[in-house]
Amino acid sequence: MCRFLCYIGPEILLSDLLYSSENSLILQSYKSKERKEPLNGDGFGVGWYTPEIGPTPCVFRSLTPAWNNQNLQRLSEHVTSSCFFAHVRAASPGMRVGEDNCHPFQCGPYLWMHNGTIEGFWQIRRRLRASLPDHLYNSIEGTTDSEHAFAVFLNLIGDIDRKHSTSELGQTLVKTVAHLEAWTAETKSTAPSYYNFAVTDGHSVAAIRYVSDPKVEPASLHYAAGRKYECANGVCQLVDCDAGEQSVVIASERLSEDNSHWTRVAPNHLLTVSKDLDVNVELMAIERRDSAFDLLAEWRQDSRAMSN
Amino acid sequence: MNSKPTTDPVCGMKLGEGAAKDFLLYEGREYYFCSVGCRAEFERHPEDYAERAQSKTE
Ligand SMILES: [Zn+2]
Repeated sequence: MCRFLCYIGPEILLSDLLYSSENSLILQSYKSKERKEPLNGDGFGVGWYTPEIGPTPCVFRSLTPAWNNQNLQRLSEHVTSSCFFAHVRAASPGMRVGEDNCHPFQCGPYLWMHNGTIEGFWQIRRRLRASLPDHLYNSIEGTTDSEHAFAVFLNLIGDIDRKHSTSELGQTLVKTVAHLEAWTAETKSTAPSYYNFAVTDGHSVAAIRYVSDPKVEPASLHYAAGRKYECANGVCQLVDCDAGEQSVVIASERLSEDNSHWTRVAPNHLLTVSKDLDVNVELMAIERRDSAFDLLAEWRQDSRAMSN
Repeated sequence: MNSKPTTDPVCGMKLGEGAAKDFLLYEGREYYFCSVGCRAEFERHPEDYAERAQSKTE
């Protein structure tokens, strides 16, 4: 389980985004509030777009904890972009700590981040990999479930050089989860999978907050839309603004205590943000055909009916 | 499920007549949800979502 952050809007300085809010991602790397275990120090990564240079993003990943990486601090004070992805990692049990395993993962114009785990990953890994064409099979550099999920997404999106619409991006993300759920449903694992994914092509963003068992609380994910990310005297916050200055921030944890600016992404819903910053939230149409969950749901419904 | 047109307080989705998949009675008010997940989320943070439902009707 990890923490991540997406920004899309007017160009801002990376250091302002990473370091200067009340509950910044750097603070979340060593004292996150919405995870039981506050440390996210198994490496980090940032990705950003420079459309004037080309459509592919730049990615900087490192194995050191984000909170004491001087290179990140120096670099971020000289990087501006209108689209950032940033991630601090807490490696899941059994997942190797290594630079190859740090998010965001990149392929062509796409960036991908995950907070969660594919339950039963080692039982579905061979089948998942066998479903991939050679170029995607060979593109997997690390060992994480997250990067494998990205390869499934890329396989489903098809031609990565064609520009896809916001809705195509979102629906492909939902389809990716449907594939993972179909594979894991056939394993013996009864624990739920946690899929908080975010993906972008530098134009639109799609993110989901998902858990296989809808009665279980998914990992936290919030968004703030229609405000400007403004910095004054070293402190950054989301403020009211004119239409042209608006941004959308999606984050594992709210960047400020002011709840009125932030909305929780509803469980098992897809959040999409278009190039024009139109935000859409919709229920993910996925039926997990897993008898264990169905039986549990039926049993709960029965016991609820009996207690009424 | 039998329900009047309403808005799911968790995801903000408009629910037409009969579209709700789950509901809950909280402090004397009825809340309708698009999914089991949204109902469970409401139960975890009722003060957040009930408040929002209240301020929208005022
Ligand atoms: Zn809902």
